[in-house]
Amino acid sequence: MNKIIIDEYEKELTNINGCLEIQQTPCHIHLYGNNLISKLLVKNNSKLILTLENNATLKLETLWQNSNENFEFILNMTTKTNLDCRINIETEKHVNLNIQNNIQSDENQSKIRIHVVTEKNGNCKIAATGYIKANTKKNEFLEELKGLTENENSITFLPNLITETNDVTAMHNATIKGIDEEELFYLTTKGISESKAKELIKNGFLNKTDKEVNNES
Amino acid sequence: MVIFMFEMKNVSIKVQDKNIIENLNLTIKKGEIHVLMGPNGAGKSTICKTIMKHPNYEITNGKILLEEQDITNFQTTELAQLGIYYISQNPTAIEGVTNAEMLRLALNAKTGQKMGIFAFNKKCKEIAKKINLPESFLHRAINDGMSGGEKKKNELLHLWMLEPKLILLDEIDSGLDVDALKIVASSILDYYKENQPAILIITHQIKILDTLIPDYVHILKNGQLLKSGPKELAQEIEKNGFSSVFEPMD
Repeated sequence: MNKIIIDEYEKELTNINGCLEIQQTPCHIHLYGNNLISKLLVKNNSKLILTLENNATLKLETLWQNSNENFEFILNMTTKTNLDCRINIETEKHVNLNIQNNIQSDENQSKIRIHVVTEKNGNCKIAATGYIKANTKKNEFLEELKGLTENENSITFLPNLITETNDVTAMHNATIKGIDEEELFYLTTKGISESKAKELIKNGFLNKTDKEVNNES
Repeated sequence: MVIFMFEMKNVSIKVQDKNIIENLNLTIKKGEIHVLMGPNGAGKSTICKTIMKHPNYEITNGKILLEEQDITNFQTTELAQLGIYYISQNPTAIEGVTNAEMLRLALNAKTGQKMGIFAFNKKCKEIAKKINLPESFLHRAINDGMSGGEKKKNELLHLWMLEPKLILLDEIDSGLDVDALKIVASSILDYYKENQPAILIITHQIKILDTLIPDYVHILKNGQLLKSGPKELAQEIEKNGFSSVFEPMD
């Protein structure tokens, strides 16, 4: 996997593909072209601003395990950009994530999905804000926050959607659940132990399972 | 002495403080196909879920045996590893967990050995072809976003991979169109011919019994087996309804 290390406060990048490691805070990256970030590494107590410049696309999928205790993440979208962002968080620590998606102009498509699994004494607070600026047109915005936990007080979602225009399709939803008893039963009927079944359900929720099989093959 | 494949002896079942099944006796030998019929709410699905030790169902009396071993207090995982396989009428979907990942774990747990990825993939692909399921299903999340027919075929993939000796089919025919039912029933018949498992079928339709011809048909009402008979009993019910057969057994 390519690894791109950024140690500047501001940087322009085009058509990146691989792991992005940010060593500065705050850091502002301007993205051009078609970009794929398969892992995003940031420091604790940091702030990252990613701006998708006109016509840029970004597919971001990352897994954070017991990291990023405090992180502020700003995603700016200009004109005709496309964002597909999936952040998976698995933690036994305290995580505080503030993510903001600013749609500044027209014809953007934004999809942000954040899945969280807390374990042991882990807890997670996520403030997710979608902001669609006034006088913008034909934007699409979807934000999905999902939590899976065995300790129901350990996840807090603060979804916030601000639209200053009517010419937008915007949806956001947030759910927090425990491990589903029927899912657990189903997996045990296949001969899988309860502890392995729980692990499988959590990994599936974080979109980890198939990757491990594929990597092995 | 005859060794029975599967026995329920005087089994009573309670769900949330309500008695659902009273003193049920059922014996299925290796290679036999039994059918359980009865009106809605009779307790048919309860029997399957209880055999599999679903946490909501409690055995209050009697015992369950598999090949003479008392499995009454076994956990679901142990029952599955012993070779009992259950397909529910609406198989559970699990987000993000692929068939391949689940099956590898299940096979490893059953055999106690780690199956090589190439042997595993080869077997999966052969079975997928046999049951007319696209290979891409191996890496799809279990039953997630699948149609009713696809879910049932997906469960057959699991069945062929896990090679059970007792199969519990809880209305496997529900929600299947004529063609899908034919494929599903034929696949189970192929498995039956190759492996001679014992099968318990719960159904409201006798169409599936054209392919999976039963040795015995049992009628359940209000938690009790009221009548047992040959395959013609199912045809009688189809023709005249349950009321024609609701006379307690001697």
